[in-house]
Amino acid sequence: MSCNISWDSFEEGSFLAWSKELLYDALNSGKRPHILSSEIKIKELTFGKQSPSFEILEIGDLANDRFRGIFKLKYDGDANITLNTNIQANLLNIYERNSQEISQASSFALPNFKLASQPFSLPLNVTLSNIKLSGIIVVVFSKSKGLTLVFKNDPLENIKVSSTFDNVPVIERFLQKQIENQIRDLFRDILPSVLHKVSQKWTTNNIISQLHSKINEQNNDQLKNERISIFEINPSEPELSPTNMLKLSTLNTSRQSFRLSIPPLQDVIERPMLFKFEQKSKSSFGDNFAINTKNIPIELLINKSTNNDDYQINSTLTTISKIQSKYYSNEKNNNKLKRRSIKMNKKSKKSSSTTATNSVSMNTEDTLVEENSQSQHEITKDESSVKEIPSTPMENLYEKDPTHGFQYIEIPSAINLTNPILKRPPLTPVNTQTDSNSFPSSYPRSHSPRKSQSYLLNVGIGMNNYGFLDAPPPPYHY
Amino acid sequence: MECKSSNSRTYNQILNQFGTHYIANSSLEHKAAQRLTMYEFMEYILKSFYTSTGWNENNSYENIIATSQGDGTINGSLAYLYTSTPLKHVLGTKEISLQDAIQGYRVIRPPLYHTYNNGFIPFQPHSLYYGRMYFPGSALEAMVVKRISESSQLLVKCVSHENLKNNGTMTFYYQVDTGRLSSEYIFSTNEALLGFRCLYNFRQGAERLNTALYNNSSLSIGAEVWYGALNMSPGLSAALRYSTQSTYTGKPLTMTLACNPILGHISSTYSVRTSASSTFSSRYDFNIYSYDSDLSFGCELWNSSNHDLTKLPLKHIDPKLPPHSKHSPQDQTVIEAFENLVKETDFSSVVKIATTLNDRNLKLKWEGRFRDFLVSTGVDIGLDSNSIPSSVGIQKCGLQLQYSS
Repeated sequence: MSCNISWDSFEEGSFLAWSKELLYDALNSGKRPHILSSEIKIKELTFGKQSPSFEILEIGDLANDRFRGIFKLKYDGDANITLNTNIQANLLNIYERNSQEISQASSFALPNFKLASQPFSLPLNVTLSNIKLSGIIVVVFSKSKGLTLVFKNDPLENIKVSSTFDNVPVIERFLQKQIENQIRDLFRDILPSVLHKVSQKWTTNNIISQLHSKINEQNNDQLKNERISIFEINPSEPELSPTNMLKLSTLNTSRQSFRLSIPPLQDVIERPMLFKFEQKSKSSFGDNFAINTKNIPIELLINKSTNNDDYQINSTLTTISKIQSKYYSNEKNNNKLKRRSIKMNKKSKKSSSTTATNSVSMNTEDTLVEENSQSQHEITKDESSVKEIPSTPMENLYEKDPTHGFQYIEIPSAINLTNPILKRPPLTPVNTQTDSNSFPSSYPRSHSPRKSQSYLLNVGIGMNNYGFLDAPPPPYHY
Repeated sequence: MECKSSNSRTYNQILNQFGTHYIANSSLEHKAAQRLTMYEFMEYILKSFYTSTGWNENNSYENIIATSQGDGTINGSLAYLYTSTPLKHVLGTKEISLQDAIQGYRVIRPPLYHTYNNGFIPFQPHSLYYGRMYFPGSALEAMVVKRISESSQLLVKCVSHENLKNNGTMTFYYQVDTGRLSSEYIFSTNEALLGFRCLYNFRQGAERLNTALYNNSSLSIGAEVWYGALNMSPGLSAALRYSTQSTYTGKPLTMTLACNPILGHISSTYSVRTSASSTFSSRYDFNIYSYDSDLSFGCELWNSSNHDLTKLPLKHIDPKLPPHSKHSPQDQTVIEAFENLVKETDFSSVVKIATTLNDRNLKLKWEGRFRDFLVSTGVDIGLDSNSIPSSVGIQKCGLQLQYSS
């Protein structure tokens, strides 16, 4: 009787990478001996094309919870591994370091070497190949005690050790002998004990005790503190999510084009456009408004003496509210956003009547268009207006232009609560802006799923500077 | 009068100039033994013993006895000392002059041909016994120095510690020092290490004449050979040193060239004392087999509390004079005046800076006197933002306090 092993699955990338990592950690754990002057790196690891052959020679005991059998293992394939490290060639340097590290006093009796103990490290590559195994294994498995595996004979028939020191026959023979002995010890002692330990995790008795200990733990800790990685549950899960990769690849390929104009990214301004943007915003705001502030301009909200008071305060407040709404909505809250209205500068009653209609709470995009058609109000400059923080998740930006008075400018919705990110509906271009000086002007948008859908003013909260404006869409899109 | 002549005798001297020694050996790490820049009390006593017995001390003692900071813990030790000759001029930390306590630039003067102690101190066999026990951990160190004859001395050092092989190590140094050649035979029980060091000072032309021309330059050559019998580890290096003092300004400079033929390593250093309170040095290493190279710099800046240093003596020479008449008896006065200035100035602290191009870190050390304590603090700052992991910032720091009275 024999078994078929699909050896090709071992050659798969993720398993190979995982085993390389495991080997790297195992080789470099613990204190590095002085003879090595750098870490041991796995240069190459292949499992070969041929799988080892297992043959069942005898089954001694077979029951629900235990098993005992004798197998014959044969391997004659082309697996190989190459390790790379640096070794210290100056023995006097090793001697010196050994004496120094023991204690403070141990270097008291150490002579003071000068240049004779200069460190000198040589790179070393060791390759193990032509591995031939042939052995008889006795396997005993019981649910209570775990797996025990013993080699009845020494399985290693042949192994070829080649290194960068092959020119020196003394070292070559030394390395060959040492590594052969080590591999023999591995099969005889280390492998059985490691397998035994690992198998004990999966045996019943241990499972119950593990469960008990976990319950006790959770009485002390909170469940939330335990993090489980997907890898533990489903090791075959790919490390990277396909949807993320798709998004990234579309992002990447969108830039690989000879087209002069490229679809803009959300909330990002391109470096070539930055200069234009700054110029434009400077000209519309005037010099009083600092474009590049990253903080909320508290002074504007407190002082009432500056000239462009109303406009700046309005724009500041609306931006803040817009950003807050965006954060709120990004968490996919379907509740209505309720806002407190704070009235400032109650000076005229005329304005209060107008603002009453302005502050309608809106939750949907549909009503956006209607509101705009009604909302052409003009307030002269002399009257100070009641400023209100707009109480809508869909931001209305109204701007007081010194010459034209209040105007509503429709901003396309920043957040699309219903559709997934990649599939936003085309935006309805509504342009009410006539004056080229006012800011921001809305551009008619083409139908591109990745179009940025928000305008943000130049008031930043936190680390992000929200003073961005989208690049105009390419003209031939219309 | 103390006969603290600074004649160089042993091979170690060549590479113990500030340049190589400081840069090569002083590491401000916590854990590694801090190769001295501040003398431990024991070494100070030892130096006094040497001067009392007339032994030409400038040997590598300060370097063999390592000062280590300990792993950030406070270490204590208890020591016992006995000498058969009264030690002269042992000062407490309050009065000791900083130049004596802190290892700095050592001026190498050419050895005078006749007996070095000028018969001031007649020879008597003296000995010194020393033992020290460390508190955390149980390490014990002991040393015996026995002066056998006028030109030879035996030193035995041993360490007892449970982590060592055979629970301890003993090292024997047999030093022979005639004026011109000094040699040292070393045997250590750790790996049965055998070693031999020697230093030969070339005769200067002017010295032969010993006349008015005061030539303060010296050329020496030395070598060391090591062989560990049990683990068959060999070691060999040779070095050449040229040291002189400028006759115009009295400022000393030293150049050394060392090589290790087994590993193919060559090292060259240049150090100069640019004023009474500053020293600069540089070292270049190169390996002919692996083409590794490294450039290191170091400097030492002494501060004095009184800011009016006497003006350095400068000699003016008419360049039109023929070469042989450029030297005059004034040379000697200039050189000696500079040396006196260095010796007599009351320095309060010293700052030492060292850096290498390979490691990309900067080592700083401040040593000075603070309220009767001799304080030494150091810090190792990383500057390499490209390395993985990035090592910018303070990596290591240490502090050492010393008090004696």
